[in-house]
Amino acid sequence: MLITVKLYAGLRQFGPQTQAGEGFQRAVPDGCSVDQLLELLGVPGNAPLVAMVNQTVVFLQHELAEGDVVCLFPPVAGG
Amino acid sequence: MTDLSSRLLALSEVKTVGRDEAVRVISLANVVTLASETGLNRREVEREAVRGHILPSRYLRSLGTVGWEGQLALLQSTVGVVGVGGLGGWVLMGLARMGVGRLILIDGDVFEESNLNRQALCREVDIGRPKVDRAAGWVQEVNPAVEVVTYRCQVDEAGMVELFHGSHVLVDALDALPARLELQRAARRLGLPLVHAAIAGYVGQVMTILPEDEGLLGLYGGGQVPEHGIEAVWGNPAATPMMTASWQVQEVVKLLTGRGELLRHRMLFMDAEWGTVDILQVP
Repeated sequence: MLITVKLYAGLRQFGPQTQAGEGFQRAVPDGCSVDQLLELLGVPGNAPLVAMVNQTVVFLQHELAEGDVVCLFPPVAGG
Repeated sequence: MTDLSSRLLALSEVKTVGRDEAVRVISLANVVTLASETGLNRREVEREAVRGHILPSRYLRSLGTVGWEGQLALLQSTVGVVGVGGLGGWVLMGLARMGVGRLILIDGDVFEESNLNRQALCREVDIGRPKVDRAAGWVQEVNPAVEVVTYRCQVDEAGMVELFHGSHVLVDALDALPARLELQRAARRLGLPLVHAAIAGYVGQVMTILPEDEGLLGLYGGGQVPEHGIEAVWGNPAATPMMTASWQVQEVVKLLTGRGELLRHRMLFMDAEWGTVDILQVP
C-alpha cells in the first residue's frame, strides 16, 4: 500500500531528497505499523520523535492504512 | 479624574498619521509630568489617556494593528511568563514594548556565560546575576509604565497556580518538558490560555493552548516524559529564540486584543535551516 511520509528537522535525512516542506510517497507492506515504517526508513530505534497520522498523535505500534499521511518530528523542549 | 482628563487634553496635540488620520497624542515627557502632578503611576496615566482617545506617542506605531480598544486592553492586562532565558527574554521585551500593563515573571536561574550567545537580556556584566532582576531592570529602562512582579524560584504546578493568579494569559518559555506539562496543567486549573513555544537548533514550534485543548499533553502524553528534546544535541543558536519568541508575542497580543486567528489546534513548526514553516494540526 502507498502512504505519504513527511519528515521534519533532523529526521529529513532518513527520506529521499525532496523539496523542503514536501512529503514523499512510500510503498509499505499491508498492516505496517509506524514502528516498522521507521525501520524501513532506517531511523534508529532510540531516536526521540513524535508521530502523527492524518493529524492525530499516535503510538508507534499504530497500524497504518492505505493513503495515510504520516508526519514524524523530533520533540523540541529548549527555551 | 476630571482634572486629569482636562490636563491630558491640555498637554496633548493632534498629529496626522497614516493617510491623513488625525490622532491626539501625548508625549513621554508629558505623561511623566502628569504622573508626577497627580501622584498616579505612569500606567494609570496612560490608561486614562487611551480611554479618552489620547495616545501616548510611544504606542503610535502600534495603533494601526491593535487599535484604541486593543491598546487599552493591553494596558489593563497581566501576562505570566515562566522562563526568562532564550525565549522568555525576547517575549517580555516585546510585551513591555507593546504596553502590556503587568508582567509576572518566574525564573530561578542566574545568567551563565553560555547564555551570551542568544539571551537578549544577558550582558557580560550580568553573569551570575538573577535573570528576573535583569528583566525587571530592562523593563524599567524601556517602559516604566509596565509593572513587573518577579519570583526568583523554581515552581511546580501548585506554585504556578498560586503565583499566576489574576493573569489573563500565560507564556511557556521553559526549557524542560516535564515543567512545560506542569505549566499546562496549571493554566487549565486557572482557566487561562497558554502560549507555548520550544526551540532546538534551527527548529522552533509555537502553539496556543486553551484550557480545554489537549495541547502538549496530547502531543507528548501525560505520563513520564524526557527532560529534554533534541536541543540537547543541537543546542540553541542566536536566531531561533528571536524568531520563535516573536510568534509568541504576537499570539499573546492577539489573545489580549481579540484580533486575528490563533495558532490553536495548529502547531507552527519552523525549520530555519531549510526555510520551511509548516502548520501541524494538533488535538
